[in-house]
Amino acid sequence: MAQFILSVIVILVVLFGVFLPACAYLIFLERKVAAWIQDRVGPNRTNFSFGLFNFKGRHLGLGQALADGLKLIFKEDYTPPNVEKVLFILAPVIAVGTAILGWAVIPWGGRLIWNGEPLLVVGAPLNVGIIYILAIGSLSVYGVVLGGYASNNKYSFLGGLRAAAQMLSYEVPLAMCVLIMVLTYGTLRPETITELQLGWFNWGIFAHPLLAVIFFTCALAETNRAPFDLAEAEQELVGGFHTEYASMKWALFFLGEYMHMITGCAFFALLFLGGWDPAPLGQWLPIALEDMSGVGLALLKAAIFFGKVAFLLFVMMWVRWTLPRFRFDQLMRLAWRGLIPITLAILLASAVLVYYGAPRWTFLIANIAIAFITAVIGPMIPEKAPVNRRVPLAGSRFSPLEPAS
Amino acid sequence: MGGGGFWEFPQVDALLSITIFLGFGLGFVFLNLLVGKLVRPSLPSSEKLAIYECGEPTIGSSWVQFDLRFYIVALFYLVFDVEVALIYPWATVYREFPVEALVLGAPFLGIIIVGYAYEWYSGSLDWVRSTVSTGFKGTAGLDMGALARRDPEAVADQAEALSRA
Repeated sequence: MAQFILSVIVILVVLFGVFLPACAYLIFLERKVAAWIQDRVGPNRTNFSFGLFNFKGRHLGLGQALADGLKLIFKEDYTPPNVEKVLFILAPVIAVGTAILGWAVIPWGGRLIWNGEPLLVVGAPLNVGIIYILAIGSLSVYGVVLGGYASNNKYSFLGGLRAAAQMLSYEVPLAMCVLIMVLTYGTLRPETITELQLGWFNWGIFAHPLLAVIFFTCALAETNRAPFDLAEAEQELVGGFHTEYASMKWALFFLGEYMHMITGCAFFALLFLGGWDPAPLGQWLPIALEDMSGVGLALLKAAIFFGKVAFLLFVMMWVRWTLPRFRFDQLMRLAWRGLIPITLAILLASAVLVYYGAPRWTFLIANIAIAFITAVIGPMIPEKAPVNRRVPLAGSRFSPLEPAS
Repeated sequence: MGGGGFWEFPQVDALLSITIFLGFGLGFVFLNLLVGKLVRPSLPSSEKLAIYECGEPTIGSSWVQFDLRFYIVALFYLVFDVEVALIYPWATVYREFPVEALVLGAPFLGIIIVGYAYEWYSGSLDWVRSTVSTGFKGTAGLDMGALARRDPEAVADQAEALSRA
């Protein structure tokens, strides 16, 4: 028991030690990636001197993340008088807290036998880890909605509403994607799902490529990232739900967004990219090892997992700086009339295939067939609602109902 | 793997460790919020504390009634998510009891799909709705649907009614 609690605390400290600096530097990396894609230089001035020390040498602007953090700590943190105080402070706390809770069940480092006792290199060895991640993930809507509601600002309110509708809409196809993966693997334990993907081309992405694309899209929408960043569309809503936030509370929202990105990418890597499996070419790493040699192995597995997460984070940034933003009706149509019927079709196909005990590659064929059918049939479905014509209103200058006087 | 007795963990342990995570996370957040209290300035002024709406004077509260379409989205979400959450145990045991799962699951999935098809058909899934099919009455009792359809007779009737009034 003491060993278990010790292991949990060690894992927690390691996760915080890796991910908090990672979040700070993700913001820096985001700006660098943006600059690279837009053929600019990006932040390259801030070094580690901060006007106090004389630091020479190549710094590449790496002091930027640290300087941003310091600035946010020293900034004045005022709360406008008209806000709903309790909810106003609670909103960023929820945004960050749910993201941290989501890390608890990701199987970073596989199994370990320590002093003859079983140990999972994971925060919490839950039997229903997949459902837990989904449940915690849907809690994150509260942070955004409460932030928008409590601010008593029209822009915040509109941003919060949009965010709520968007996150709720994309929650459904996301949950269905995970459901299909659970159906395919037949278990709710994250570490067992990882182990079922060992072997030759056994990763989830080789069985369900279409589903992987849908899952990634939904993960982007859940984290309110471009092209789904309507909740904070600067041109329309100033800052959206965090318009009234300043200083550390605002920083917590930002931190929460990047933490959610990490959780989403880790979930994707777990379901589709084989977790800690280094390559889909046979089994390279043993499932469980004992004592000291196992610790190194667990660290190696965690490093591979982090590497996959880092790559997926880069893809998220790449998407953000490449695709333009959706319009709100397009956003809703994509979720309700695009992703949900496709996931329903894949769900039915997978259920039939699993019923007959079909091998893994048949799922791939089903996915390709459904993608093909969608691409062919989708454009042929007629829009039911006819397009509005201009409605002439009585009393209007253009009204045909009243003679011009 | 899994399933074996050796790798079974008491779920109370898992809940305990989630509690540790939660405590650590909340502690981190509140520490962040409090640590700056000692070093940051606090010089509020009436301009600074004003609601930021692009420099325009604020009119009224922002807690107003919002578009009902958001409400409908929330209703759909509720229906779908509860259905999906109910299917999870089904998906987990599907390999072990394929026949029973198919017999019990097929009607359930069928209800979801029929309901979804009805929602599509009824136009509730459209965000931009046409006024053409509405029975909504505009100012002075105008039939907005007829106007949007550019129904000449209806428009003429309405014009007549208006001129008489």
